[in-house]
Amino acid sequence: MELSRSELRVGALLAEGGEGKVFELPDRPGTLLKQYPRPVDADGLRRLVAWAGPGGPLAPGMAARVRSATAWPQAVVLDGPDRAAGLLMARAPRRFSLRHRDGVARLATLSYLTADPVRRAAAYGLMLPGQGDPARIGLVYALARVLEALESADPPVGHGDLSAKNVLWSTRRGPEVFLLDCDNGERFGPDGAPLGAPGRRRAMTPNWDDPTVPAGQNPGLEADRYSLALIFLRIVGAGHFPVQKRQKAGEAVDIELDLPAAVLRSPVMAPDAPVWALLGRSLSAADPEGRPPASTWAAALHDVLAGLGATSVIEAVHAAQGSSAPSLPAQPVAGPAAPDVTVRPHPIRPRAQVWTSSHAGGRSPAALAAPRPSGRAVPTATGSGYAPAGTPGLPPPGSPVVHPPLPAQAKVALRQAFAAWKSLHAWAGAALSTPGRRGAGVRRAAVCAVVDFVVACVGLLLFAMIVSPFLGI
Amino acid sequence: MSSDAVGVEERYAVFPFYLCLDVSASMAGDPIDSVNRQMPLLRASVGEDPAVAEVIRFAVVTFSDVARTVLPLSDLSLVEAIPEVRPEGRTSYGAAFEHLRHTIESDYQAGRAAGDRWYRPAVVFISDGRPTDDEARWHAAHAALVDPGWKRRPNILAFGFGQADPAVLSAVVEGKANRAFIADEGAVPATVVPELMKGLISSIVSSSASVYSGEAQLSPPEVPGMTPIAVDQLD
Ligand SMILES: Nc1ncnc2c1ncn2[C@@H]1O[C@H](COP(=O)(O)OP(=O)(O)OP(=O)(O)O)[C@@H](O)[C@H]1O
Repeated sequence: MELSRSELRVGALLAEGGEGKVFELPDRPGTLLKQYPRPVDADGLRRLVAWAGPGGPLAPGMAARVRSATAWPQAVVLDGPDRAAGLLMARAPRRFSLRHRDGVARLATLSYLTADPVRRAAAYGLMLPGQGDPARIGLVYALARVLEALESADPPVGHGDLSAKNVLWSTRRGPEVFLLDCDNGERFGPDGAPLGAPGRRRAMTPNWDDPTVPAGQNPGLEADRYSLALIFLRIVGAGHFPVQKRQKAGEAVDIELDLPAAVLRSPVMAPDAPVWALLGRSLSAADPEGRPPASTWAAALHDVLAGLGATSVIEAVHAAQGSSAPSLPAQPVAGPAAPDVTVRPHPIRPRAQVWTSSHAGGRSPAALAAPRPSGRAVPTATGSGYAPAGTPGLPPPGSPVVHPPLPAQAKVALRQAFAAWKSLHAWAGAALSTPGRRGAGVRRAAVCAVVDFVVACVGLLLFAMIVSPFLGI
Repeated sequence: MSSDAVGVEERYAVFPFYLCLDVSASMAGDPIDSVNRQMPLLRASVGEDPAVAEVIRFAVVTFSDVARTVLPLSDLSLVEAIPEVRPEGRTSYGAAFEHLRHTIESDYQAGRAAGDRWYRPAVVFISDGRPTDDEARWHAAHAALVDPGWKRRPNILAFGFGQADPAVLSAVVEGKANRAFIADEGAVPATVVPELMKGLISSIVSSSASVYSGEAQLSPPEVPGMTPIAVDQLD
């Protein structure tokens, strides 16, 4: 697929990255243009487009995963015969964004998941799954299946920059991921050598990089395997786990992963479960060639989810990826432990109230006890005097404290309930107004009537409970 | 947790920014109003992006005859609104530098106790006037702030407009290139300050990206209407 830049009507600038600008296309909703600052060699891009297209090396089930879960380059936008000005790609569907308390929706990057969910709820009014939650494991399972697809073809493709910004997630219809920046991908030959133009620079995002890739060099297939494991560690563990600096210094790392006791009681997540050795081997800097392929992870996480009884999560992941095509034959999960990385799960400990580490107060749960009406702060120091360092764990008096997280969560829940109620009625209405589906419509309308009746009864009961004390009843 | 294990409480290192704002009487009106108008944008640009917020800590210090902390060093994702600033008295650089020196040290100690690791802090110094305090006092306070023997000594960016003196600002940034900026002749605060705040925001955001590189760099802002003070203006 190719087209010329002049054929395109270009709309608003959506975002600007390090290597290009991303524009909306008014004539093609759901599709975006990524434009490079200066034209690139069209050939590499053509091959990447063809790789995932019909007649390419991907099996149909695997192609469905790539189509549904990535912004894969769909067409080359030409500037001259062999010069690409950019590419067309699918826009991340709306469910891959999150609406903050301010009403603005933002792309759901992995950064939301790599911190204490309580802290994120306080900051943005979002309800996120807790650490160790099957939904989080499901997201990594979804990612493992996409990477499995990338590795499954001949030639395989490495994404090369699986960072917080490039992996979007959603749990609205079950766990799903959506990969950005796929034009950064590279095809690899049987010897592991890149097939693209020599001299092409593919940088990884710092803090999300593979510590074994020397500065100035490009990531190979093993880098994606490291990233997958790092993402498991950070989003299942809901923390930063900054390990690369030590690894670059050649140190062995010992990781303690706090998880709910209930999760650790399951044999698939117990301290001696094979998944921990798998995690260690995948994060190894001493033996990058020994990092297991994504298919091993897909099989292992399938077993973990099944062991946790989360079969609905497994089904949702398969359904979202457009095919329940089985994974490649599972590789044996057990294997030698990594020489340099150990991972030890540990029953969850209460987390430090990190929001007070800067002794700044702000949206802290302490506000629950003493809600303050507005964000105006009283100066805490006069003269060239000094702000008293707050007691860790408590905001100092007069700090700008607002928005306790609990009412915010209640608000989110109410909004979700209302949205569900609305879609239920829309669902009935749609069938009622479709000729030939009136029967179904009537049945659905009956369901709505029952729901409305129950809601009305509960509402009346609550109202009565609130009002009766005033009437002296 | 065993002593050297990596656990959930270990976080990326943070980059502390101290906005040090002149609120002397001459800042009243347009300059202070536009600072207050731009603060919500700064808070949102940093705080509402978790990838930026998690590596930036931000504080606001004001100074006139005295210096005070208006916003203690904070994760902006957890701050509802940055408090407004109000014009006050004269322009004591000495009070500003003494306050910064003490605040940075105590913030560092408090942060460390809570498990934070710091990159070298940055001070963004904004003034529209010349120091009104005794030269010996502010020189001494400045020397203590940039003392090479003090590990937490900040990198300083200075921005001046109105009556600000390029030579003085250059001294504030220790004569370092691309660290001090002065408003162009005839530029009015009502246009300079918003540009300055925008420049500051993108400087913080791109500094946050450099944090991820493990070697935090203070990205000097590009502010239309302001020109870097050449290093040789020191004398
Ligand atoms: N398919 C998409 N759907 C929605 N937003 C997108 C999409 N692709 C890119 N964007 C937006 O554009 C930004 C830049 O895109 P992308 O990462 O592809 O560019 P880049 O220049 O390679 O960026 P960087 O080098 O900074 O990672 C993204 O961070 C995102 O905000």
